[in-house]
Amino acid sequence: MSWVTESLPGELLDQAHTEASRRLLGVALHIETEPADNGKLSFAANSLELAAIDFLEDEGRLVEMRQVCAEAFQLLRVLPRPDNPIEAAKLCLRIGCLAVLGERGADAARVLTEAPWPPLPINSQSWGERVLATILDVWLRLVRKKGWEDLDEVQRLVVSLREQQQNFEGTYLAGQEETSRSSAWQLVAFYHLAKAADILATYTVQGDVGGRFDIVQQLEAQFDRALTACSRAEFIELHTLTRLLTRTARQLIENSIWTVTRAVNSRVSRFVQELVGEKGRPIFEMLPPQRRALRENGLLGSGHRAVVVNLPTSSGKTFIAEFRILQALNQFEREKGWTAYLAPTRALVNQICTRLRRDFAPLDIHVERVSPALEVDGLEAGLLIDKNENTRFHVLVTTPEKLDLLLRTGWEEKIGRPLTLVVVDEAHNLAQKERGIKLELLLATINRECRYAQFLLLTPFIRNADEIAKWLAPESNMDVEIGLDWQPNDLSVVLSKPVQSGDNNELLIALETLHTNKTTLTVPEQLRLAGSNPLGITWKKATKGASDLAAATAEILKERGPVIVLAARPAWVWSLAAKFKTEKNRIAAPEPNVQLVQRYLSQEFGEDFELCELLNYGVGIHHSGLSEEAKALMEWLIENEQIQVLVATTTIAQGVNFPVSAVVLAHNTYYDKSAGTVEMPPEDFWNIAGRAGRVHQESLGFVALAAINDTKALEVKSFVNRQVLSLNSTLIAMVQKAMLTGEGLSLHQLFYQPEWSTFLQYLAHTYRQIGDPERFSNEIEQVLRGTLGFQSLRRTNMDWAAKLVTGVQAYADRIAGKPLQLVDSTGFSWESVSITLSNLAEERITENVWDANLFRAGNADLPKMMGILLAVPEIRENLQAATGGRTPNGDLLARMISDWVNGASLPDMASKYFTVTRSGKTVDKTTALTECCRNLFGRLTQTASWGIAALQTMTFRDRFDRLSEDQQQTLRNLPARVFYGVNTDEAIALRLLGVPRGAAQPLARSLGAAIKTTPVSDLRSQLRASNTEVWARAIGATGGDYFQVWRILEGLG
Amino acid sequence: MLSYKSSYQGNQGQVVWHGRHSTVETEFDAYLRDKVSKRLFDEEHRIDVEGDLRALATTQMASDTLRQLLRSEPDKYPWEVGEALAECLLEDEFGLQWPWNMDRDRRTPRASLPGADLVGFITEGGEVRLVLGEVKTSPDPAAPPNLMYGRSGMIHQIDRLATNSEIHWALVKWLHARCKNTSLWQNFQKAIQKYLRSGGHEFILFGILMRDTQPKELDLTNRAVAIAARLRAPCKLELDAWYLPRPIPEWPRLAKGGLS
Repeated sequence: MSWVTESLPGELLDQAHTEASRRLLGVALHIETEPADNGKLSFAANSLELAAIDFLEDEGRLVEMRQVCAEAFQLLRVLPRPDNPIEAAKLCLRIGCLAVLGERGADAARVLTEAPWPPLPINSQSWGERVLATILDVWLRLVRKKGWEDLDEVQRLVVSLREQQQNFEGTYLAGQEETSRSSAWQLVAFYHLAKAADILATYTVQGDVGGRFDIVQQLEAQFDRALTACSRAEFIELHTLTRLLTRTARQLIENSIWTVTRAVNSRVSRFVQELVGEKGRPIFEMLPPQRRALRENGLLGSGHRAVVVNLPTSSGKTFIAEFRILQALNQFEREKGWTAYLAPTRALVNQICTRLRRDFAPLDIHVERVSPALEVDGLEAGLLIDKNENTRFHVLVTTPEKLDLLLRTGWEEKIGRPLTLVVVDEAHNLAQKERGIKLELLLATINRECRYAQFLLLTPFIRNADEIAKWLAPESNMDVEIGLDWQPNDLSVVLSKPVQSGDNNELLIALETLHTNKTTLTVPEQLRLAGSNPLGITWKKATKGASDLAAATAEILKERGPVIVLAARPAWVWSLAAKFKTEKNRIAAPEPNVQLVQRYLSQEFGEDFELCELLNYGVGIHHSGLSEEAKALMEWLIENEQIQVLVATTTIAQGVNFPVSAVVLAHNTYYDKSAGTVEMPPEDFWNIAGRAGRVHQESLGFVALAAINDTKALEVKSFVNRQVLSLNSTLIAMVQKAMLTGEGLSLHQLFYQPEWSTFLQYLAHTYRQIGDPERFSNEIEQVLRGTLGFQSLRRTNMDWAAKLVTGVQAYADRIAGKPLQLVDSTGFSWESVSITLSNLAEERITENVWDANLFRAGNADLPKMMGILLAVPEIRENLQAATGGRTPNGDLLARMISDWVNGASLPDMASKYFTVTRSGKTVDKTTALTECCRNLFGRLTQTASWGIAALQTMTFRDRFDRLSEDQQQTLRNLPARVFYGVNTDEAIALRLLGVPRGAAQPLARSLGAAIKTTPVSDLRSQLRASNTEVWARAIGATGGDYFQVWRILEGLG
Repeated sequence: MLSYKSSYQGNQGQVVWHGRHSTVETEFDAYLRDKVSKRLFDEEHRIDVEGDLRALATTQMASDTLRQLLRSEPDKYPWEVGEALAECLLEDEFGLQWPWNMDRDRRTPRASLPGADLVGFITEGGEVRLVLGEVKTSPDPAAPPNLMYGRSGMIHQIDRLATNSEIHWALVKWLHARCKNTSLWQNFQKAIQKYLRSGGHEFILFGILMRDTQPKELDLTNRAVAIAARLRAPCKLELDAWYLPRPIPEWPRLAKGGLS
């Protein structure tokens, strides 16, 4: 605490902050607030500024300085600006300096962009005024840095001052009479400030000044002289401003991307040159979390093997990862090392791949993705083993499950180059049931087996980041954390409440700001939104349905910019989205991009697809009942503000990587088939909340939760205040459950539970790697200690830990001598493998079944194979569910797969398999299509391709490796046909490259068989170089649309 | 100390006013020569203008006009002497402390706007308070003199100093730089704490009128009564007029030891 703030009257600062929040909220929501007294606010702001100045030179109190600067910024920015342009600019500059020092530079840039300082008299006939105006203008531009334009202008203005000096200076000084000497000192101070601006601008754009790198010293010399000149003639205001500028300039140097990445390696330097040189949206400086992670915590320079970066959403973690990847590639250049980037969902894999590919392209760093399908198709195999110096991949983006499969089936060896870094995005998923244990054991395996592997775990919220980092590298770890208070923008979490206007049924909406365990804006009073009965929704309706209230709220908030509305289930998403279909919202002529998406959707989902109609009202939807491509297009539309509302299921929390102005939650729950309604975990809530607030405009983000009545309001209040918990391994819960339910730790009996199957596979794999039963016995504890869970278990329950060791020992005895490579290559436990082998034998499924006829209608083997797979616990549940609740049987599944591979469209699949429910009820088209997509994309294609690949492995066993490479490739592609829904190898190649299903088959035919032999990277270049005509020739009238859509999906559009 | 006789005094509300008449010319001359001239000319500490000019060259904006102007030795204006004199008198009379600016160019007349002529601290009964004040030097025979009126007149400026917190803050931040890491730091903290605790109201104002006329109560009284109606506690104002024995235009010469 500062003695200054401690001396203030009790409530003053609190009142000032509330008033500042009130004003920010009022402006954001267009609410007229009572004209309040600026005196107290200004007094509080000035006090904070004094406290900031008091800390300026005290390096030991940096954290406090940042805090008071940020607070001062928050108050000063809401004060009215003086009418006099020069005075207004001075205030703006103080605001900017305090923001930069308070680590809110991005906000300052936004404030100065949204409401720039007034035009200044930079061409004034009075030299004194002209110089002062110019100084203010250039420093404001240095704080704002709106692209190259601002920095170019700084240099132009300083040059212009030098040019004009001769014409104006003499006359000006001569006219000052009594004060001419004082004016001379003032000019001296200004000239030093102009020079300092020039130095800083030059450094910002090129990383050196005249070939020198002692920028801080060069700047200090100028500032010292400016301060001296101010002291000579006692310019009190300018002196203080110069002190602020001195420290701000130093901070700007520290934030500069050049400083953060200086002297790392040539790859990093080239990358930085590209980032700065980018004409569209150049990056000149790092966000505070990035700076701290990369420079202050030494992530770029250090040899820490395991690093957990625990930073809030939207603080640029991907950017940090990019630098770490470059570092790893450089470190292991001689070994030709590669890095893996793991993302939890297919959508994120695609997003990340597009981003990395775009950013790394100028550096000739090749980024590839492999599908999340749990098999390696022929093309992927080709891509992985590509040895060509010019085309081989450096970065592989995929899901943890796929990397697990690759590593366990010996792909690191086949790739022939070492894995040197694993980046894990959304690493808090380690705590997720089922998938968490997989990720944990994957990391444990990599840690044990990959000689060079290093780890970078990215997560928004882990309380025990240090523990996680230590687990992976007890000898060399680090956790990078920034106060959870740092936010890229202002945020307000609000309850949305229905208010009855008068005694009729008219609906008004009031927002009640909530106190949360983070820094969010609050005011004590309710904020009444403008407009009544939004979307025609009445008070009665809004008090009965959260969807109605959420829709009505979003309808008002969307005026500020794009809004995401969350509902718990796909069916509710559709109905909520439909509420926006009002005459007022109808767009007579949608934007060309929207029309493109509508045409694409009609093509893939049928002419009368409900979403096409919704887009006419500026509304999109996003849930598991859409294809990946359709979801990506929805994200693209809202990101580019082509639609105003995106109604999505709550599960989008893990997949959104773009900012919106507000998030409205109709429900704060997930719908889980087995568990029913489950409250969204706090980390997911804050993850999505972090997306509210756009970087380049509308700095204040809203997260609104619909509260139809007081009971719900109470629930929501307690919901937003739940704390993020420490991340615990799911292994602990697994052991706990086994012990408490009396199942015990006879591991072979637990194989039917997917999470235990994962654990058993880990044991089998390690056992196989160690190769010697006795050594395995001796090393059991060591192997278990490689997991995060066992270490915690030992600490919390020694008895269970001991029982687990005994259980593992017994299990090892059971699997001794078994063909465990089948466990690794199938992703099934040994028990499942064993059952499946015997079922295959019984059904006489042999290696002879594997040819393209497998997917022909009426093929007799496919139903049998599906029947066998329905007995495999690892995939049974998904396969059963994939039929949409009908009694599953091999026949039905085989027919679905066969139709899918042979090109049945989504509407065909929907009408054939999903129109009539298990209970015999006929559903509408939209519901059928939704169910169809959910099951096809969410379950069937993924699970069936995995299962078929596993069966293939089991029928061939080690004979597979003896086949020719061509034969191997053809065989590998069979499961991929199911995953991609196409029936030729050529079409698979195009699907791997992101071509939509509807275009892949005809385009493949047109491009010919050469596709199969063309390396993936060449094929990609070929596609990029193609044009609408090429696609139109292949596909017909819709070819052009498909080409555009493909470009959008690839991040080129 | 310069001796004087009280010609008139009074108080109302938060305002005290006092006319002080000094009549001994030799005493006044010595005071100017010995005490005031140190403040005005600071012989021991000559600033390094040449160093400043060399540094200016690095900005690529050094010019002959600037060089000539800053190297020149201008004469003092009477009002400058008046301000320095007021500082010395207040130091003697009330024990006021002024944060000494070692970097100041004594040849440069002080800019009086947008701040105050006087900024310092006063200690009374163990309590330290911030002092802000205005000085006017006037040979005008009228009572009150012209310089008491109008937008640039003393009363208006005192009013502004009493109520315009933006001026306070500009001065406080400036004082901070002057006092940090000096012997005045504790007093700065004490005075500013009082200022902060009172929500920006607890400080002492001084209005000093420097005259070469005979004492006239009309110089101050009416103005003082008027301002007393506006000034709210805990802020206080000391309005003083000094009637000095030498004509104002002679003060610069006298301060230089009588040399012309």
